Amino acid sequence: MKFSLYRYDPDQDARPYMQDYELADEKIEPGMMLLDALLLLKAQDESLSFRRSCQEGVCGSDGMNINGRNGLACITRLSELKQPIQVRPLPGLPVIRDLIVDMDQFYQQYRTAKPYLINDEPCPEVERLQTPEQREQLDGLYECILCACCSTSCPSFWWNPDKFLGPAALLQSWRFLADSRDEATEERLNSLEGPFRLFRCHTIMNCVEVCPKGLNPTRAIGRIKELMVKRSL
Amino acid sequence: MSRAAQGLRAWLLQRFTAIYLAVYLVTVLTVVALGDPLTFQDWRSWLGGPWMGVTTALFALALLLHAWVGVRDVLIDYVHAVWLRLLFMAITALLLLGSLLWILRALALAATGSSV
Repeated sequence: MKFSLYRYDPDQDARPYMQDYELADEKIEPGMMLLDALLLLKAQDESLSFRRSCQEGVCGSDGMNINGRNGLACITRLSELKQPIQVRPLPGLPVIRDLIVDMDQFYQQYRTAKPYLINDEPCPEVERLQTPEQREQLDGLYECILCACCSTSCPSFWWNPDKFLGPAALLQSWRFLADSRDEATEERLNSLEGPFRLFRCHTIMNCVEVCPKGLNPTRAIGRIKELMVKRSL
Repeated sequence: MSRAAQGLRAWLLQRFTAIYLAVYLVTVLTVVALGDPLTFQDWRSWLGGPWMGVTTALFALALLLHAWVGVRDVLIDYVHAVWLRLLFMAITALLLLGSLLWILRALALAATGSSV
């Protein structure tokens, strides 16, 4: 099985390049994922660098650009990929080394979304309870694993990563706006006003296309705009 | 300009003008396509009528506002040097305003029936 992997070590290389690798067919087992193959290639060439942790699509560490499409290597089947399998780092973020990118800008935008419950009421004796219907509002939002596949496939995030929150952070914005226990609706909506933080989204929907968890940030962004319109009336 | 005017209101403006543009275009094109071929005089008196005159003036205004939000979006996305973006925005604004005045003049000439 043939691979073409993005290599870049800023200490040694003047510029990034693609390096060809080959994995003997007898090493490929049925149902094998791309990450398994990358680990075998790393055994061949230990200088090859990438992030991974849980290896089952939960931690979100191994987001990468696989044959031109962002995804998690650990849940991408080798059998479904056209050869040579081209693997590059997530687009739009600075490369630290090989497939490892600097996620600072991504996390900075996540921070801007204030991804935590804001509620200044005195703590009740028991938990702050929700009805099953209120809890249902958070489905499709809380499952995000912050792998950055969506934000780094978004052209608006490529052009303005320092000002546009990006699909991942906006999904989290809506996750807390939609939460019946959160009281900071005004503050959250005010912070999203203006031309940049929310309104750089042009409904391109690359985020929906690539999300490995099947979430829909575009719908969440639509709901935020809807809420803004309701508030302004 | 307030942040709401640059964010939510610009976005809403683009949506509402789009609806008007679509309705006007479909209606007018249908009427023109189904009717008899128009001569220049027919065409002129049709546009000169108060109903067509007002809806067409609104169409021109909606088109230019729609274009303004769209071009501004493209400039915000791609032109990051502030002075360059302001320059492009100023040029766009002048072109759009000039076009609006030109269209309104044409409509006024059609309405009064005077020659160009």
